[in-house]
Amino acid sequence: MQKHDRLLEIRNLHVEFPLKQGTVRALQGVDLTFNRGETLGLVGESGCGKSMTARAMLGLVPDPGEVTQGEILLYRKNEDPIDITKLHPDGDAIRKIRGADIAMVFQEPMTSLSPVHTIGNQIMEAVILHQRTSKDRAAELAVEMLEAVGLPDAPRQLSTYPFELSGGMRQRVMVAMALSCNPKLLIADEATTALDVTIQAQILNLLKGLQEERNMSILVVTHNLGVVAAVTHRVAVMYLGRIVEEAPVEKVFGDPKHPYTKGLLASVPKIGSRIGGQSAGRLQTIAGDIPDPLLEVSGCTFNLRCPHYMKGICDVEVPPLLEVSENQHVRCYLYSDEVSESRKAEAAGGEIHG
Amino acid sequence: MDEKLLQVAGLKKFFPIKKGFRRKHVGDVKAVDDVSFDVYDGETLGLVGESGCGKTTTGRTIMRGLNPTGGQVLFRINGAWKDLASIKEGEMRPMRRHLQMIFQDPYASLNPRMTVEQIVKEPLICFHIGSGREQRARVAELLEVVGLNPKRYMERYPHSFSGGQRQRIGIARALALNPDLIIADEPVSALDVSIQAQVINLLQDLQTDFGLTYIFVAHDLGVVEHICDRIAVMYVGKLVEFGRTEDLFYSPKHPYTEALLSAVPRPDPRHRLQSAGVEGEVADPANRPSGCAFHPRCAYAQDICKREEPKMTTGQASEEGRYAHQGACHFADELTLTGVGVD
Repeated sequence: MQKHDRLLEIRNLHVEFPLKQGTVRALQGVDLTFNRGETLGLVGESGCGKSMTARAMLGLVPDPGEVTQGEILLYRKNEDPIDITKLHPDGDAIRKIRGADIAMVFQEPMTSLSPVHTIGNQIMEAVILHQRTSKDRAAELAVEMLEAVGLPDAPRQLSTYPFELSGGMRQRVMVAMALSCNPKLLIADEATTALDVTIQAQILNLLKGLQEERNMSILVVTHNLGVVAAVTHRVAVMYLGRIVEEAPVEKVFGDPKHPYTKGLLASVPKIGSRIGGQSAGRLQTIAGDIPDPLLEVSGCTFNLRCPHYMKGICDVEVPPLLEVSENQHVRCYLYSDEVSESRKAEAAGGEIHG
Repeated sequence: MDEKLLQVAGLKKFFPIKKGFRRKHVGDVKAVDDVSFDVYDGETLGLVGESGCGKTTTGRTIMRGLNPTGGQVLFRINGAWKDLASIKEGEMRPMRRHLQMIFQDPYASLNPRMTVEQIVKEPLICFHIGSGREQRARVAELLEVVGLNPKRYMERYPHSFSGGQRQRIGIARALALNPDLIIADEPVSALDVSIQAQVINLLQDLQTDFGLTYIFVAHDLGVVEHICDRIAVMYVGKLVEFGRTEDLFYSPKHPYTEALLSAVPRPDPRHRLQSAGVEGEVADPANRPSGCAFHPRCAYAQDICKREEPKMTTGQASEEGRYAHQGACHFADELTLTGVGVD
């Protein structure tokens, strides 16, 4: 990838939460690159750190969490890269980035909109703040945005309050608000999770359309593998604070390499599994539960549940991110040259157990 | 497996809308409006639809968690049919031994001040079954059945369990009285995918082992296809399609089912979403559109759809009529709708 294509780069990011009971290592060395005009999916189960990564990109790590290592570099055209982790979370510099460079759409559209301000005022506020335009011009822009996200009767909607709108409409307003300052990167953090499937499909199609139209980058944070397959170009799979696999979307779904990715894909009941009137049988599962966040797992964090666990290897050191095929990176010793083939063959015999 | 266990006929549940100082009755939210279906022994019947379609209310009304506004719920207990919709609350109590419920939110459905033993034992205490020691032994047996180690977990409180484990506790509680029918209301939607698969497998194993019948309320069509034998699709309080899973998924008879199936994002990048999805929003059950409630969003709608409400077709009654595939659409027999395609 050429240098100027790069929009944002996360390098070795660590986020920790020092609590009374111990330290929760929410992120343990996350590396991610965002290119202009690309949709990246970040998937994983609860507690894997996907939302924390997204929040860190906006300098929004909640208390008492802190970035202990690593950097998040934002590349602007003709400027030196800015390290977001070094900015004061309430300072002017980060506030200029939020909204203008990176904007976010949250999961719950009812709680992330103000109930006492009209839709119009909420969108205009951001526009006036970032672009220093007049109120009239801001109102025009707000109408444009609402039209862009497909809200019917946009001029009239400016004076409505969030409670007058349905969940899908509210989420459209959230997208309009996020788009109002022309961000280079839009983060959709479980943006369609609370919506019904027909409405979810509408919002996903909207995001896809907007992205192509504006050549924006989108980060889709979700636990829903279907959503990831539907809209992304590239996917990063996270497990307990680390990215375990990163590859183009076709490879992640067509030829997954990491045992966790494989297990995750196998455990989703797929539509169309009963063709020919057969019963669907049993689902494959990943053994065990997601461990307690306070538990420190040495080596690969997935080793407690992994069907291919190699004692003395997987539990000692964190596996490096290995390139297994073009653009496909996996954090697993099964693909390492340093581990003997006989060990790997032995471990590979272990089927995913239920 | 061939006998009916439950016959729901014309079930209605309306919630009154009251306005003004005198609380005048100005209308009804027709949450469930004239819903009929049968459930056979040992099968899993899925109730699906989007939020507000009345699937949860249907489940609750069958259980008499809510009192029905009208209709019949015939339930077979020891060979005799009882109408759960019309019996008195006092008579309902002993019936509840035979039908139990599993809830969606494993964090809200377990009392945080009770130990696992107390939670699972409570139904036994309510129905005065066994001595204290027998009850304890039964709790241990139940925990074993749902895959929790009784020695380790019996004395613990719900907060020390993960979502998947809590759902297992809820399942153990539902099994305590050896029910015939379990109504599972979104039992896996709050769980992570890897845990969801474990709980689905558990529910299926229990069904085989104990001959359970399930009514499975869910919105996730992948899960529903996997676990259900037959499916009823609801839209704004009414049944729009009913049939065997494979019939309904591969050759739907109602445009709403088609829309629903096409909107599900599939974990396969080769099946990207079509840009022409269904437009508009789910109708308001307090203010149903005239005629067919789906007509404002329907791509095939014609004049008759606005005027007349479609009746459920009787369907091609194959094999004693049980597997009839029914759709409530004026054009159910004329349209060729796309289901889930074959790869």
